[in-house]
Amino acid sequence: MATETPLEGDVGRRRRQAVVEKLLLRDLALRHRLGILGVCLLALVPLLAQPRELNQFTYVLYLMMFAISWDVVSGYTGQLSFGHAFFFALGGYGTSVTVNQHLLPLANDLGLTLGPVGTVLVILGGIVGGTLVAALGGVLIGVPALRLDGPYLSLVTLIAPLLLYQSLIIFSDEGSLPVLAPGGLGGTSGLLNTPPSFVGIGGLNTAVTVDQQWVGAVARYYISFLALLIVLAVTYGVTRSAAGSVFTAIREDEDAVRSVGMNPAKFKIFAFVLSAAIGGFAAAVWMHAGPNAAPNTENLFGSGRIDLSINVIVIAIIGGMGTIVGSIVGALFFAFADTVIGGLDVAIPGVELLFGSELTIADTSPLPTFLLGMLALVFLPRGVVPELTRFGRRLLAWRRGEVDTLLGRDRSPSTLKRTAEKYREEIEEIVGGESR
Amino acid sequence: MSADAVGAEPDERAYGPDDGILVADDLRKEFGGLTAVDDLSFAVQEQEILGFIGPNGAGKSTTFNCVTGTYPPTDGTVYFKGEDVTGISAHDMVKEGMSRTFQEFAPLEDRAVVKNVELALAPDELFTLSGMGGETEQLAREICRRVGLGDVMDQTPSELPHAGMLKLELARAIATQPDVMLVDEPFAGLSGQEVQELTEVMESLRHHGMTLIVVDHNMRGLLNLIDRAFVIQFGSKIAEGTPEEIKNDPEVQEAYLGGEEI
Repeated sequence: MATETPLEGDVGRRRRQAVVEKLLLRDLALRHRLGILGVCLLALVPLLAQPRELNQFTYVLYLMMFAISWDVVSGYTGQLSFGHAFFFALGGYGTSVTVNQHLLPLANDLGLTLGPVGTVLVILGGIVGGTLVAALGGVLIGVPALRLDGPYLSLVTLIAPLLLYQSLIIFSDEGSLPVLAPGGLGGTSGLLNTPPSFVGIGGLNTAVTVDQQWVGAVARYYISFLALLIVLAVTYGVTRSAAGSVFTAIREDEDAVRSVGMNPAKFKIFAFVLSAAIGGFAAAVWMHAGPNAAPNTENLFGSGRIDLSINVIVIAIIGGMGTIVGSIVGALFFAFADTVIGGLDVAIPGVELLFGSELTIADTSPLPTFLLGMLALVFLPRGVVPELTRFGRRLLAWRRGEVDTLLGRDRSPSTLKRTAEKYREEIEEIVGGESR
Repeated sequence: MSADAVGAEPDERAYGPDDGILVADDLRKEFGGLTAVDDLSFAVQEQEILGFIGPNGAGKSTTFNCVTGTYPPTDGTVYFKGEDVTGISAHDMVKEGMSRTFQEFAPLEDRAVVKNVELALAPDELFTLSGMGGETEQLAREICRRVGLGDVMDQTPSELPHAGMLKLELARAIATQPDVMLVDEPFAGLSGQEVQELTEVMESLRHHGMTLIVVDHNMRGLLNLIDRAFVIQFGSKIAEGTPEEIKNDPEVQEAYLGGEEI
């Protein structure tokens, strides 16, 4: 239009100023202040926890990152992935193989003796390698996603980790996968040589040696926490920019995106690659700083090959799809439920009479956790974070005197419901339903 | 730009890239054995409002699906601003400066009306600061006000009446800042008052330099708006001229079931 628009003048300067103002945390909405408070509380966890508890809680940080990774692609663009462990495994194995089978032998060949700094550099190189391998995996899944919809894409995402799992077995022995992984991939029991960790007791396989258990636990916690902050910053930056609104628009209607001059294919692939890179990065850091840091299938795929993939979905949905923050809250809920249930060694009454042996509630894991996830789906379909945000908004409006708002119902359907609806439509299209 | 392209009868001569801002030359689209568009040629001049008229099934939508890149034509050439744009993708066509409204469209239900419009202002880039300074929202609000959605822009699209949806679709197309806008059946199901409102919006767009092509299956409501009409049937042109000329054209009357009032 030929009339003057707000896009004229020095827009670039105004935008940069807005970014700076956001970064200076001025004029924050209440929920953002609460979010920052939450992050600060996470930073203070080591003050409260015992070393063993802290180790357990450190793992929760990785669950958060994994769930965020799923949320970026599935929560935002609605491309449902049922096998995100594919990316985690690529990242975890990627860094282990890069460090143990490439970088360390190379340093050895060159006759270098690695000090703490050298080892840290090698580890960082491994993390970069793992992240890149995972990102490549993101391209591998993202490209079919351009042609496949709904259930077909889900099948691809479901099969990919199973193929990878099988490859780990096929290429288990030394020399079975030359150049890429000369030492082999170790099969289901994983790589026996665990990659060096950032901090630990015992000097052989650590960059920095400490002499007390709790110092190592605290240090590993903060390294993991730093990784979480990096993941948060990246995902927040992308999803809160205009690209984020394109992501959610793809979830709603790809044609609408195309009709306003944007290429949905580009954004879809980007979402997959970003998600894969984040998942791979988290897994890679885990291998060097996390608790139980061993590159094996139990860790990176979950106990039943797909458990971890399902867990991250449950976490992201409990917390709230398409919010990023929801993944953090969801992981806390999930871990809390898991711990509480795992601690219930009360025998389930009646089972002994029926089957002759005792069965405690803890033995039935992960059944109760999944049950909890299903309950959340039914009663909190929006997820905890969006529900709380809505409740908080109404409460504030009510305090301002807008009486109706507390009672009024919001009829807009939840993200989960909309995603599921679209998924159903896509299935109906395939089976030739008369619904359209 | 040749003057004889407007309103004249350049039937047998081929159109070139410089005959108008949007030119279709011998455009043809076949689906299997069916010819939906049969060697159609036309030229649209800058800042005109062209009515593109034809009975249901005449090939209007197919023509514009070929022109705007929804699918490639079987044969023929499309020139836009003097360049050959035949067969480029729909989203690239929008970037070239040609947008369209859809008869059957689904607004994004998960966000407010103004956010629907704002999406069209976002750049096709993965990393961007666009929107950070609030200027795209400001512009989106201005567009909403211009098309008459000022009071309802913070509602969700599902709360809009039918006329509101048409306006939203128009606003979304405007927000891509096109030079040529194709409007598909903008008056379907609108009251006289609402038709008048939209007519004014489109005239003001033209006044600001936009070229408009309005597609409809009849001319009711279009008479006050269009400068020139182009009538097709069975994928071929049957008449071209001012609205008055078209109304009195025997072939056009024939096309509309033996002289039904058009």
